[in-house]
Amino acid sequence: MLAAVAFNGCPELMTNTFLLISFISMVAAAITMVLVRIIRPKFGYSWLLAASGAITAWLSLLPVGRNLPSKLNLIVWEPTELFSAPIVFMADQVSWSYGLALAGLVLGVIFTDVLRAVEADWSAWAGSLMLGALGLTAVFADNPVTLMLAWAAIDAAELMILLWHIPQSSIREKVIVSFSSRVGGIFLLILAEIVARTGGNRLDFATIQGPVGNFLVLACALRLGVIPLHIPFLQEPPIRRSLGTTIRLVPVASSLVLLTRTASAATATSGNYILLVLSVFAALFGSISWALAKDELDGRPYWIISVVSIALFSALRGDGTASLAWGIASILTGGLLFISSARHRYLFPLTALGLLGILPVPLTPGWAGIKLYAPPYSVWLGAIVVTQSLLIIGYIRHLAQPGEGLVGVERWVWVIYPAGLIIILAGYGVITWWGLTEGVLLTGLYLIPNIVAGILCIGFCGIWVYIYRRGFSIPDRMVELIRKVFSLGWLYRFLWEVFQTLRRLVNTLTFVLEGQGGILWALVLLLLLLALLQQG
Amino acid sequence: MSSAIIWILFPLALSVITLFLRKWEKIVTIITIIVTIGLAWLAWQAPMGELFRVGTFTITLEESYNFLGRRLELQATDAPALVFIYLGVAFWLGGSLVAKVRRIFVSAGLAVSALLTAAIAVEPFLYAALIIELVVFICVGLLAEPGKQIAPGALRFLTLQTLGLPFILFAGWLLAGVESSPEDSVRIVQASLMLAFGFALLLAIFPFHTWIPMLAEDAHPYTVAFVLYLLPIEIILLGIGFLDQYSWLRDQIEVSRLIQVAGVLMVVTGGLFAIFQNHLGRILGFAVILEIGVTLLAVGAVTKQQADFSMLSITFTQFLPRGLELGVWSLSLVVLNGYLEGNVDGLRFRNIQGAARRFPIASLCLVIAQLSLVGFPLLAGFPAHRELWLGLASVSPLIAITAMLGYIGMLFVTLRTMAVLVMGPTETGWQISENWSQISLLALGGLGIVLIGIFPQFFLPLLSTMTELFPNLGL
Amino acid sequence: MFNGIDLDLLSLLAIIFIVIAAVTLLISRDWRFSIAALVIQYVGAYILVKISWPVQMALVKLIAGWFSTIVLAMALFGVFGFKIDGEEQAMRQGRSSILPPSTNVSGLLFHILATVVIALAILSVIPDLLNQLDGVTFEQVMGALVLIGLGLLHLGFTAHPIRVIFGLLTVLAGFEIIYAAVELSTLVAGLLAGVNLGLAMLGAYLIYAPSMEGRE
Repeated sequence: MLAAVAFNGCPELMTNTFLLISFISMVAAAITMVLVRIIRPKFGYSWLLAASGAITAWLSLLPVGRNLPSKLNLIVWEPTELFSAPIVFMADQVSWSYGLALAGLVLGVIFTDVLRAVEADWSAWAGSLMLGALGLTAVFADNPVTLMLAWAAIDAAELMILLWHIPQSSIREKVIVSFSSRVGGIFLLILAEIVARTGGNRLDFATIQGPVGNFLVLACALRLGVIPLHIPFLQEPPIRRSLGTTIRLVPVASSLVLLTRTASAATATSGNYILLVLSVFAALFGSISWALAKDELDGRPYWIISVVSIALFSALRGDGTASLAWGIASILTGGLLFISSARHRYLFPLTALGLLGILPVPLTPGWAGIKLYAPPYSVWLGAIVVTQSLLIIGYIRHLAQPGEGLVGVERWVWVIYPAGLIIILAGYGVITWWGLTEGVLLTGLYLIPNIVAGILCIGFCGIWVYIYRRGFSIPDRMVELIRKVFSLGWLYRFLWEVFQTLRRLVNTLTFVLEGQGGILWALVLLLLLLALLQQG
Repeated sequence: MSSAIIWILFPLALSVITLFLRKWEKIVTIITIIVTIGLAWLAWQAPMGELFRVGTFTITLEESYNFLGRRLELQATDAPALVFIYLGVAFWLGGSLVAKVRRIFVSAGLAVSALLTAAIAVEPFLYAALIIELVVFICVGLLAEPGKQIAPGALRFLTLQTLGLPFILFAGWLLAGVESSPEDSVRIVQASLMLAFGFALLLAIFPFHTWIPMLAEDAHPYTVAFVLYLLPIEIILLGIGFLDQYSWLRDQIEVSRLIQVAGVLMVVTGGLFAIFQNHLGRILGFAVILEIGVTLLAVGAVTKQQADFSMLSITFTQFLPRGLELGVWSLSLVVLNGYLEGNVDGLRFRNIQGAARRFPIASLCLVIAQLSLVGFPLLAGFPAHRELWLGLASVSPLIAITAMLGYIGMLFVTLRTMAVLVMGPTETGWQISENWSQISLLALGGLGIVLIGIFPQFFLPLLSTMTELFPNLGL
Repeated sequence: MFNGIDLDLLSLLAIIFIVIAAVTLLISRDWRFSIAALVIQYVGAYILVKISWPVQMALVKLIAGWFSTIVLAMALFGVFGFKIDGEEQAMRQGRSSILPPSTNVSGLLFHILATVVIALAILSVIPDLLNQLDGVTFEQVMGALVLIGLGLLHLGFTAHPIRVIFGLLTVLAGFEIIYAAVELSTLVAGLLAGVNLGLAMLGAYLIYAPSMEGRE
């Protein structure tokens, strides 16, 4: 109200100001923490600094959702006749939803870290804040250039943090592989721009068209590790819950936002169909592994793979709302469980509420998610129902496992820690009513199919519970086999062989051309080339 | 006073003087840097051909200077090129303070800058080829280190550049003939072929590219990067000069195709051959080949009818990031090379495994430079590279995708480099082994790459105006 | 094939000089022969350039060429000396007047064979070139092509610094003969002389560099 008065009826200015504040507060808090640490290494109020930065960001983003859409020009590259792309933020329903989810996640992480004093320290909070700020840049990106810059910054930050914390070479290799696939995604985005330009168009997220959409989906899929199916590294970074959660989920959010936007351009092409099938396999594989994982942290990469695969599936079917719902679920439902290190009967309901993101219950975000069960029907939809049920079962299973107690902790921790969980849930609520408004209502053209799918999903959950109670489990060897097939190690080995063969060929050519008679060979080769060109 | 005296003869004389004072390396280098920056500033501020006031003095900078019956002309439109040359040389001289290059580097750098300016100024511009040949001699002299056998790459470099010279001179004569009788199609073909051969040799176009990786493998990384930065740019300017001078040349669709075929060959050679390299110096060489290729593609697009002239501006804006990238890359190699002292195998992957843990700053800067060179967002190379790719897409989708493939090859090898640097046989902790001067210079370069990547508007516009050197091309 | 071509004695002599010089440079094992060949080569080139240029300007070519030769000779003498210490020593750079790589009998035969191939190629392209280049005489084309062809062959076979310099000087001399017929600029003549001298000085440095010390 006050803000509305202050901005004197100019809602766009207000929205932009709050948007900037949210970003700046996170960056400023992170930088201040680093500077303070350099000047006063024993500074004792780092958490307070981090928390105030995160709260400001989260609170600033709340009013942004009331005045959508809004654009904010940040930097213009000159000369403008050469560099066509300005750096622009855009807040619409999709970006705002992801933005608020990210800010909530960072805040939740910092709040719940009060219980993990041993694991988390100022550097983890500064890292979370920085990654959160970069994540906001990505989700609010209005054009490809802004998104590329944000993606690059996130990838670089993630890479540095991981390499700094991981001492083992074997895991570092996996970090680089993961970084490579992310960078591959960036270059696919550039390729999408090129493809758009060949048709005489400029790539714009508001009007994504046919073949360009495929490239964008592929870029997101590559960054998310869905296609080719790629579990970056199973061994989690040392700071597992705190910074580990942010590191895992911020890059995901930054890619999901584009995925949701591509839903509008979904077309039934053969390339699309292949992507669809691959996403189903990834979703199934991820959900099985999630359900069978030792605990929620071990299962975290599989949760991400599985849920984002469903988001991808929804986008490929052209359902933006479902894609958004699943995307938000991957961050908030997952995030809620991953930061819940304490287990207590009073806290159980709070963490359990996260299930509403994936349960087919009307008026909840989970209901927006099952909107994807609409015609045209195919066998793949059935597989997604099974996937969803496995995700639910996995969530319940991990939630029910024993964890840290809250006995003996100071009283203020009893206030702050649950507040972290409540903030995530509150943010989820706001996103549900402002961002997923139409999706959560018990209306729509395909209400009956949705209800049937929901019932089927619950039914499958029942079956899994029954089977589990009977003591049935998938043999370890089978699980290993599935992992081997889906991890595509065989494909990489084949590609490595091809690489070696090509290397031998290139080395031979190099040896000839760089040897003593190289100039004569070069002349011979040139004559051959000329003859070839003449024929052409 | 003639501008040629200030920007050509004075630096040439200074280069001779510094040659005798090379014993006091650091002081001479610092003074020379100040002088070159001063020359760049003067080029930026002084209006050529008009009155220029310095305190109470007024000087008229004459544009023309007669030399052996020919003219050396420096006009106001040459100012961006002069700023670029002298600032570029100042930058390279700055890096030489920690790069452990030869003492004559300062003199050679100054002489090269003076001769490159002369190449821009000489009329008829055809004679620039001869001046470039003199630059080649200086470069080879710089590359041949005392007490060591000369690198085979340096000899190959000398051979191919010298062989290119006759073709260019002869093409010039043929082109003059074509101007007087434009209907003579035989002569047009001959002239085009001569030019093609000449530039194929000068620009190291496949299969004459071998000297670049050979040189980059054997010679001092910093000196190599200096040579590989300045020389191709000057040769490309000479080539564009031909297109600017002879209207029929840029109107020929075949010429445009030929340039593009050469560009594609270079991009493919640079990008795909790089994938299979295990030597950081050779990778630098292939990166240069790739960059030459993309520049050729852009120039080829300009010559085509109804093409976007802005491609040329974008090509010029690439020169600044490229200099920074090559400088930082080679300086990092010098630091890592110190780590390998005594290892005959040099900068091969197997020798630098895990080097990032002992040399984090050099390793980080090396990766930043490599990523910037492939057009990674957030870094200096990105704005211009992206616009180039998009520009090429407007001209020919196939060419744009080929260019992208070349860069993806280079990206692949960059990621391999990164993996090699962080994975070592022994899992030691992080420690900084670089000295302060290395850290400060590398950090400055790395920071520069990031800053240009985010705020190109503050750094690149000046270079884009280098198109004024070629007034006819935009017509 | 070459009807109507009238060779005067001097031009014929020039071509003979050039052929002898180029072949000697290609197959010579001793730097003294190579230097002598260079001296003769520039005499031949001077005679052929003089057909198109006034004597004063043509002399620039001869003097520049000879100066280049002297620079190289001094450097070679400084490093190798005149003394020949036998076959084993001959293979070691800096110890004898024999330029590595030494050529044995089969190598010699191969060089001669390649020379014959080049000669045939030259003979086949001369008529075409004469048709296309106005104002260039048969002997100029012949002399130039011999130098260019054998110079290229030389460059194609070796990676030894001094041999590369010999090869480049040979190719350039060949080019200058043809170019002189079409371009009469003083600056070009000066710059080309500069290029020759520069190449020779660079060659001298490359000969000395391995035996120098320090970070000069």
